[in-house]
Amino acid sequence: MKKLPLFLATAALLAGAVPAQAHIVLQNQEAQIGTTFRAVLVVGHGCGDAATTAVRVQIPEGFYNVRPMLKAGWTVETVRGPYETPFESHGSMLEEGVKEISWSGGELPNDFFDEFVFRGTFGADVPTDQPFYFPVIQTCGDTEDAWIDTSGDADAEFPAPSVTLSPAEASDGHHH
Amino acid sequence: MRGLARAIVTTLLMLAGILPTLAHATLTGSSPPDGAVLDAAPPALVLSFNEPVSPLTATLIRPGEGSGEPVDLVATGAELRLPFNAGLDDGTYVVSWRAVSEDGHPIAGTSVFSIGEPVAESELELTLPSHPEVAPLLWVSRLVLYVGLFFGVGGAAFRILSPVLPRRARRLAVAASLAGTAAAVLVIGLQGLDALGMGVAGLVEGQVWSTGLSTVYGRTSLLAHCAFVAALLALLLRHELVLKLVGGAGLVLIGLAVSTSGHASAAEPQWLMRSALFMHIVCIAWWVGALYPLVLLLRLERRIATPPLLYFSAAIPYAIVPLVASGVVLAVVQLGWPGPAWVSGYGVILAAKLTLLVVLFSIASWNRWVLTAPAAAGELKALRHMRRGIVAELVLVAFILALVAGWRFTPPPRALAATERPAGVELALEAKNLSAKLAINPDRVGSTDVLVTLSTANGEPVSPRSVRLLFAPAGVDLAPLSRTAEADAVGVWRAEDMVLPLSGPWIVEVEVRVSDFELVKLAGEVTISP
Repeated sequence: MKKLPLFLATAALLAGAVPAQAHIVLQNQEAQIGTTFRAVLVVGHGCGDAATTAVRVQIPEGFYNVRPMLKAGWTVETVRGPYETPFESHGSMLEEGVKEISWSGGELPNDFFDEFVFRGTFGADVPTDQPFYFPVIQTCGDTEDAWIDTSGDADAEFPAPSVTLSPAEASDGHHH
Repeated sequence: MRGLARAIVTTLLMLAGILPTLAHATLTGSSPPDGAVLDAAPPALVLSFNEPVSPLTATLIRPGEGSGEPVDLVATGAELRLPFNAGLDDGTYVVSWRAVSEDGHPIAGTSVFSIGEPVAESELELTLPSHPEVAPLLWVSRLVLYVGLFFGVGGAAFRILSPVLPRRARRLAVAASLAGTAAAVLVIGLQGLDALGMGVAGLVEGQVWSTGLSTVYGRTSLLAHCAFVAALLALLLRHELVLKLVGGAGLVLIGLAVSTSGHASAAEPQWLMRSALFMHIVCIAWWVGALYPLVLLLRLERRIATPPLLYFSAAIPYAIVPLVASGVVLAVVQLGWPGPAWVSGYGVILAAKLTLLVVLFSIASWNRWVLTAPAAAGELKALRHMRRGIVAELVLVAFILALVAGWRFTPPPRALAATERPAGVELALEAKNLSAKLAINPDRVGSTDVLVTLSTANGEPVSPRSVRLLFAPAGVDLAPLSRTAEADAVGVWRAEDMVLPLSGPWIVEVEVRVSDFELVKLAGEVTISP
């Protein structure tokens, strides 16, 4: 909790100071563990000047019950895989789920931005002392930009979009 | 005279004992690099050198075996290729190889690589036994060979000037030629020993002799043999025209023999170096060969002595000018512009030789310009001075020959430049479950090649999607130099011609895209010298 102001400041810095043309980032970069999260990937530009033709995101362990949002003009596909820790949802144990989402077949020119949306639930045991990364591969025709740098370096060239997690607040029910 | 001769011989033998042998071509890189862990069997081991080499032998030690099996070596330009015919199984392999540089000096090395997981290496006998007795023997034999060539064949060539050869001069020339012949034969065997790294006991094996013949020194010995045959014929025949022709042929053969091997003949441009060396040697042989006969002739009657003396005096400038000119060409090409090369071992010997040459030329000029006329006229004092002068020339020539033979043991500066430059630096980086070995060569300002070998922490091979290198100077606000490495056939990642513009500490980062979504970053520091 002590680190929250620092994280907030960093997040504000990242969100505000970095211009829209710089990185692929999540619209909301804060979440609580144990709650559902609407992940909005903002693709602000192409690979260099090239138009984006596909976006793939990897769902790491700890984000469960994932559903992508359909998108007109794009083909949405998911890859399912087993969870290391089964996830309890509405009374049933989920042992496997979506581990990768890809939107393909569309074209997003460099002059335009778009958002790719999916949602899921953070597990209650996910550590909150480090950012939670969603590695994204942005494909533009034959080239690709791999936003997969999870090292946390301030000068990383292609950092993965990340979320700062905080412990769950007391609540009276779960949200949808 | 005898005491002096003994002193000269002793000095030469002492020099033979202390001068070390140094190899001349150097290994600049290998693929797969030493210590690599590969995921597939390489089709061959390719060794790159700084100059063309001739293959000698190579041994492959398979994992778990103590002794090796012979492997073929194929040379293309400045590369040696050891093809592995049958597919290799997993394990650690050791390749021990031997090759000969262009100037005849043998070089050797060992390469280790692993396929799959490196097996704990067994205790291998990798140190080659040393045979220190071969080098001095080789040096002495070559010295006798040179003495035989210059005094024997050169002496025989004197008959071109004067068919009358004093008996003692003829006996010396014949003795020198015979000694030279024996030395030429011995040199072939000793050269074979040197090439194969065996001791004197190996002289009984046929392989040693055939190897010796196959080196450039073998060709030199064979040509020297022909020169000696020509010399003996010239010394023993009586028909004037024939012996002059044969004597001349002997001179030509000396030039060919010496210009076939040695440093100068291996330098570029070869056509210039070999012809300069040929000219140099032929002029020396003709001049030196004439000295002893002249000394003796000067004791004889004026009627007999004068014509050859006058011919010699008239002809010697035609030998001296090409001699000096070719010597200058050779020195310039070998040493280059004034700089560090001039103080190398090679340069020091050259300086000593030049000093002696200055003295030699002064004495020779004095003989030629001042003493010849009065000596031809028969003045006793002039005759005596001239004889002494020629003896002094002989002594100086002997010292110069000893110095020149010492060049056998100093690598030419161009090879020194290749060895003094360090063979790059190696970095071992680890992060998560990945281990990277970088070879940065050369680790100096300018264009650099970087080779990256990747494996898991346990030594298993990895096949990443891509590898990117980032170089940033530490503490300086410069954007990092980034280069995407390319994988070669055996899984070694290369980034060639990266230009590092500053000296000092550099931070090196290797970004390995292990899989589509996983990136592992390894970082380390390297110091780049100016």
